[in-house]
Amino acid sequence: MDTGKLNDYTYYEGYEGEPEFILSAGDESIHIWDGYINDIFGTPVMDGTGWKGLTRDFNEVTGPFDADEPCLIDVNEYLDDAIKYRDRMMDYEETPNVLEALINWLNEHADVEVFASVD
Amino acid sequence: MRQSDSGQAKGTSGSPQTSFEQQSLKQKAAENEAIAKREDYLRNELSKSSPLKIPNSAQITDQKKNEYDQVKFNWERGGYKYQSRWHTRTPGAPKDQVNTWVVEKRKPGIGNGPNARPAEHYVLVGKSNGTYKWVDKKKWDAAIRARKNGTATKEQKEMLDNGHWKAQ
Repeated sequence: MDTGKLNDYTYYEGYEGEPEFILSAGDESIHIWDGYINDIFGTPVMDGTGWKGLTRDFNEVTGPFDADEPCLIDVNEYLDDAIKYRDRMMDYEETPNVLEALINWLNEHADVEVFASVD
Repeated sequence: MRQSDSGQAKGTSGSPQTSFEQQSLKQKAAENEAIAKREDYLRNELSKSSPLKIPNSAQITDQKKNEYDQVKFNWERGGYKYQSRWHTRTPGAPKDQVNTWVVEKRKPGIGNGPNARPAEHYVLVGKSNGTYKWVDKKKWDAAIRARKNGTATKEQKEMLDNGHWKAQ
């Protein structure tokens, strides 16, 4: 789903003052309330084989979750990781839409430099 | 100013180039002074109003957000990553909303090996006699979402009020 927005705040609007997870590429960005990130990635598999992508960065508090400046991410790693959550149960009814928006945004920017940050 | 004095000592005063250089140096010095003053204020005054003591070694992130200001203090202690976040009134908030602090702590999870464990993430919602009360971030998030949707319970509202510490 291409929202057609350079700076997409759809899943942050109304949460001003709360932390936001931001992906940016050039002058395009998507902003997501961190509660949605927690709902998607906050209950990772615990089989001891390790985490990747956003699951790793969020749960090990690394990359954009432990930096002052935006971090260059491996888009394909983030994408592969996010896709794995498609069939998972989530607490909020709108979270699957957030996940799809995130996957689509990563897909659309798979060939360019993408930076992630938490503000 | 030290910078412009240094420019004159090179014996090039009077030329338009020097004047421009001196002006740039003066401007840079003024900017540096303003940054130093701001950091001093954040580290030595604003930080004092945080509900959880902020160590001098904390990293400071000073941000201009969309219609409000935010300052984050980050530090580590005892295996936890702490963040004390101060912000001014946000757009759409009640007129009487004042500047607030929200304090979080995280214990990073481990995804690899036999000692794999989930991350822990809490928000500070109370303290008395040196004892701190933390709630799980998921519980906090659910209350934030409920408040946004106008469905927050009395208990959730109280928790959010307690976790948004009034600041200077």
